[in-house]
Amino acid sequence: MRSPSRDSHGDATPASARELIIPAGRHPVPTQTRLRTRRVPVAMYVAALLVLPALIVAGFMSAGLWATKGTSITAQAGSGTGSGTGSGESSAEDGTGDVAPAAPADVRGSMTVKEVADAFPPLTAAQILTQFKAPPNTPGTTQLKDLVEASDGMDIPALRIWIQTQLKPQT
Amino acid sequence: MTAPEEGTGGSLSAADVRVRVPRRPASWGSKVRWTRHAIQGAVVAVVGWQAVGHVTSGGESAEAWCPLGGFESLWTLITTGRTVPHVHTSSLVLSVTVLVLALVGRGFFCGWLCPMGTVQEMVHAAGRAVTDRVPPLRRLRRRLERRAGTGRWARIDQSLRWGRWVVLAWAIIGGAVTGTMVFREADPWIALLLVAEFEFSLAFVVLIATLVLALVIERPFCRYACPLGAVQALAGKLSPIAVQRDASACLDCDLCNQACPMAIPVNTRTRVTDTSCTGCLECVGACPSKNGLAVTLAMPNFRSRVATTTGTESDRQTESELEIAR
Repeated sequence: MRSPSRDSHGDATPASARELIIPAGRHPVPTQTRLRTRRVPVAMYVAALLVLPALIVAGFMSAGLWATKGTSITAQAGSGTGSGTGSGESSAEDGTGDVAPAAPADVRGSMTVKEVADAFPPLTAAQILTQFKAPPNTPGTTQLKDLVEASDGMDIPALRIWIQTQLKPQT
Repeated sequence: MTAPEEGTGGSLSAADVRVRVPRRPASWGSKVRWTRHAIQGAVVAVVGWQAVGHVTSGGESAEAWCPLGGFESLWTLITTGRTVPHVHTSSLVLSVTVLVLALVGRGFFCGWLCPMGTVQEMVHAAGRAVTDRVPPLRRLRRRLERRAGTGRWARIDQSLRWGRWVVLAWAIIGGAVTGTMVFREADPWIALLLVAEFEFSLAFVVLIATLVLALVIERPFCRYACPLGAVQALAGKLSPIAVQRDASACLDCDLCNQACPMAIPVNTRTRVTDTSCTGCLECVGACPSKNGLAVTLAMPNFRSRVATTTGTESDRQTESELEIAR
């Protein structure tokens, strides 16, 4: 909470005066600090601290480490360098889209049925839809989280376990 | 600039010294404040556009722009190389960004960029606008403001400020143990982002409580519960930038204290290094004395353990004149 007088310089000096007077009885003592300090112009302070985060984010973006949808950072890095971790392949060239899961633990609700099916052969989209008891004609572009909402009890952790069990015989 | 004047009795004793100090232009504070509000508005607009796009066209979630997720996901990331659900690489990048920003500029993110802080400021401003127009409410608010900084209320305020550290510990440890974002369930920012997909939840209750409290208290969530603010407070302890008060130019007028949204007693500090400082510069803008408060950069001092502030040439001149006056 602050006082309503915050906008006014509540001293007795006329507004036109260019100087203020420290009241009698106060003790004007220069500030003592163990630090050597230098004034920073406010404009420079604000500009520098606005540019700094922009540069950091731009740096990470140019390094391919920026995704607003996606999965583990290892899979992200793998697809970014082109070496890949198994099936790590970006579904969006600009680096802002989902990254294909490298392991069942990387499966997220934001991924589509097709992305998961492509990442874990020989699983098919139809098998995944069956797990969610979704109609077989459901588009492959449907996000898993939408299937979770429509399903009765099936969720992402359960899907990860199911994928793991399906892959086990091959590994 | 600084000239000793004779006291009322005509003799020059230490108690009667009157010193002239340069006045800061009255509009300076307004310029800083409106610059800050413009930047805050731009950030809110970008995040709002993102949130609306997510709801209407299924675009990427504004949640991906939340830096807290990176800190919550830290242990899982170190141990497994994966992030917890709802955390994307963008969150990790923003976590690093916020950390660097705090190391350099202390609470700058909170005061100038954080959209949750902006929303609270907007609600508080709306509350003030209403109470200013309704006399009984105005009297009540002034009575509360008089009591706020003293006695029991001050002790309650100080005690509640420990809440940030508790919430931070809960978010980090909970995230490490469960592998999920435990704080997400109570995060008012998430509730605000997903307000269109309304769901009655703990986060929604916290959001409502925050907004109601924001009517009478400035930035209640930032003061008492924000884990991201707590992370920045820790990193900000290493920051070389801080608002510094020059006691020789301080009028002791209390305007800086009244202006501070986090209720920091600025006029009792030499450097405002409080963990709750948001770097909003409201105190600097409110200070009528040109040299009373300023943003300063601390540098290593190898010459002396205790040294007088070295600012501009005029500051040094001020000090020598004060020496003579005394």
